Amino acid sequence: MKSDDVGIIGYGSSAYEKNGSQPTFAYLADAAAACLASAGIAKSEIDGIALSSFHAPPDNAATLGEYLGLELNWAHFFSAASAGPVISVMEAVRAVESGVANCVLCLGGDSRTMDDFRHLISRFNQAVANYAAPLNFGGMNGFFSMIQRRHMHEFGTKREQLGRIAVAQRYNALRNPQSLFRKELTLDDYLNARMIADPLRLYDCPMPASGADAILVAPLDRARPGKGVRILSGFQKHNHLPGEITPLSGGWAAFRERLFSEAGVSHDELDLVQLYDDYPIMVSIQMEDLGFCGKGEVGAFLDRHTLTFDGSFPLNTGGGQLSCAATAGGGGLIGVLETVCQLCGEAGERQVEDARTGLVSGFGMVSYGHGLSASALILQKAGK
Amino acid sequence: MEFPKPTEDAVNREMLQAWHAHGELLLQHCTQCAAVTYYPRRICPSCWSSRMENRPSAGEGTVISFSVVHRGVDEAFRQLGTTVTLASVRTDDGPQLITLIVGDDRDQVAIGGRVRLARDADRERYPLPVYSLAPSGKDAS
Ligand SMILES: [Zn+2]
Repeated sequence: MKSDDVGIIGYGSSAYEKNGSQPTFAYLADAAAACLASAGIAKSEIDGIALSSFHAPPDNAATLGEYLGLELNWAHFFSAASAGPVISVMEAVRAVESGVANCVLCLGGDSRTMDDFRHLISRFNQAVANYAAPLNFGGMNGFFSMIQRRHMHEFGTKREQLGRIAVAQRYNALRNPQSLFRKELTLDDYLNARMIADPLRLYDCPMPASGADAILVAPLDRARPGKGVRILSGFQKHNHLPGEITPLSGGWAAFRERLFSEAGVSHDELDLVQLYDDYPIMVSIQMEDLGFCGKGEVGAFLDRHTLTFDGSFPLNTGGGQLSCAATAGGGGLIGVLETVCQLCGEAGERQVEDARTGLVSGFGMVSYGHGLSASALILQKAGK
Repeated sequence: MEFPKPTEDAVNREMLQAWHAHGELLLQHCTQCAAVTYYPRRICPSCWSSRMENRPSAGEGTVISFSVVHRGVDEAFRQLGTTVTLASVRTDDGPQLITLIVGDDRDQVAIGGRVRLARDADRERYPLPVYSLAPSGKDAS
C-alpha cells in the first residue's frame, strides 16, 4: 500500500445537521467544493470519484459525476458500509499510482431523517431484513448491546471505563467548531442516561446526522507546502470469523501485524488514533484487536489513559461520530478527515502537539449479529 | 401498522413454514461436509455443495449473550411500548442464531444459561423461531 508519490492533498466537509435540509448530492457538492478549496486544486483536474453513501442509490458515482459536471476516468461506488470510505482512500491511491486517474475525490455523505435511518436499519441487508428485524431486534443497538454485555461478562469491563471514551470525545467535540454536540458530558450523565438496549444507554449510541466529507488523493508534489499526507499502510477484512454471532473481535485482528509492519511504525509512534466509534464498546474492541492492549484488557487500558486530544492517548480528536456527527456515508470518512486536519496542523483549539503519524479505522456492514467489514490506515505527514 | 416479516423465497420457505406450522427450527445439514447452517442459504457456506438437507433442531441451546431492548426500530414495534429480550444462542446442533427469549420468566435469562425452542409461542406474533428458558437452565442458576 505504501506510496512515496501519491497521497492526500486536501480535505473538506459540508456543514453537519441533525436533520437533512438538502439532498444527499447537495451535501456531497458542499464537501467537494470545500475540499478543492483546501487543496488549491481546480475542478478541471478531478478525473476520479469514489463515493460512499447509504441513501444515494439508485444514484451512484457516475450520476454524482454528472451532477458535479465532472468527466471521469475512474468512478467507484463503495460498499462495506462504514468500513468503505477508509477503503476508498486506499483504492484511490492505487488508481492514481497506476495512472488510471490523476486526481481522485473520495466522497462520503448522506442526507437523512430519523425515519430514513430506521427504514435503512431494519432493511440493512437480506440477513437483517429476513432474520433479525422481524424479531424486533432493536437495530444495531440490539446487536452491540449483546456484544457489550458479553465483553463485560467475560472480561469484567465496566461501564465506568467505557464511559471515559464518550466523555473524552465530547471534550474534543467542544473544541471542534463543526460539532453538532455543544454541551459538556460528564461520566454521571453517561452512566445515568436513558436506557436504549440494556446495557447500552443514550450516550453509547451515535445520533444519526446529515452531511458529507471529502478527501482529495493526488500526486504529493501537488500538495501545498507541508500539507501532504502519505498512506503508510492500509488493509481491509470482511466476514472475519464466519458464522460467529456477538463476537468479541473483528477483522482488525486479522491484519494488525501487517498494518504496523508494512507502515514501519510502532504503536508508540502514533500521535493520534481515530477508531470507528459506532459505540464505545466497539472502540474498545478495536483497541484490543489493533494491539494497543491485549484481548480483554481494554478496561485497564482505559483506566490508565486520558483519551482527550491533549491526553496520553489522543482518541477521535474531533469528537468522532458520537459527539461531532454520524453522517452515515460520511461517518466512515470523518476519522480520515480529522487525521489529515491534525497532520496539517490545522486543528485549532484541539490540535495535537507535533502530530506526525496517525491511525484511522473503519467498521461496518452489520449483518446477522456481527459487523462484517473492518478497515484501517496508517497516515503520516509527508516530508520532513 | 405492519410488523416487518421475513420475505419468503425458494431457499427459506421450508424453514419459515416449519416454524409457523409446527414450531420447529429447521437447520440445513450439508451431506457433503456435514456443516450445519442457519440462516438458510442456497449452497453450503463451508464447502459450497448444494446438497443440503433440512432437519429439525433438537431444540436446545446456550445463551451467548442477551439484551433487553427498550427502543425498537420499526414503528409497529415502537407502538407496542414493551421491551423484548434479544439473545444470541448457540444451538446444540451447532449454528449460532439471533432470537428472542419469551415467557414470564425471561428476566432470569443469563449468559451461559440453557434455553429451548418455545414451540408453543404465538407464531403469528413471532414469524421466526424464539426460545424460552429451559428448566435445566433455571436449576443451574
Ligand atoms: Zn458443506
